[in-house]
Amino acid sequence: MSLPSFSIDADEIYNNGLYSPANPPQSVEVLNGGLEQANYAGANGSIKPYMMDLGTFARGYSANFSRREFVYAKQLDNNYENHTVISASVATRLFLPFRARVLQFGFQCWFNHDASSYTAGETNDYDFWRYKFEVLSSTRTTATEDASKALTGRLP
Amino acid sequence: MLSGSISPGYKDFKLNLSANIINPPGFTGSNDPEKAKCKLMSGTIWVFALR
Repeated sequence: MSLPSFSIDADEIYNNGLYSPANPPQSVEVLNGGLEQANYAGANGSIKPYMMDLGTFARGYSANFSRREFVYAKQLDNNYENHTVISASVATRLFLPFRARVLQFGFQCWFNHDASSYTAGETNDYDFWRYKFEVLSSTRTTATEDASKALTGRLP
Repeated sequence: MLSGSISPGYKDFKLNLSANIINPPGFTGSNDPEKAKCKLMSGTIWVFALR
């Protein structure tokens, strides 16, 4: 970026100091952070790893807890597929700063429950606790983010 | 795992718990819904995002 003169001139600042795409760039276009050719003009045409911010292409997160949380069956009803209680511990909200192609996620948790009764002859002839881990987006724009992407099972 | 075009923004990861607890009349054992419980002790959620 180069300014024609050092005097304060509104037109000059507007035309040269602000965003004004040109090749080679003559304005603060060079600060836009993009990977356009104009931004590395003068170099040998390559982009080095140090030119990118950490986490530009891939990011990892984790959320941990170490406390006891109790969920009682009295909080629930018989509709165990639709009426669930969200765990306060195994839940987190993360910010994804870019449009991702792949989002891998999972959880690990220590449970201790007391559903172990079997009653022969009944339709639902055994007790169980059920878990469903899901990811929800505040801005669902694609079908891939719907709640069907769930990890569901019964606690052993 | 989600794949495709995953929009940026806030993502909520959560574990839902539910139960099928039998409560036959007169039963007062540990699987009484008044007493049956699931205890969580410790854990981790991990996420990896690839652009």
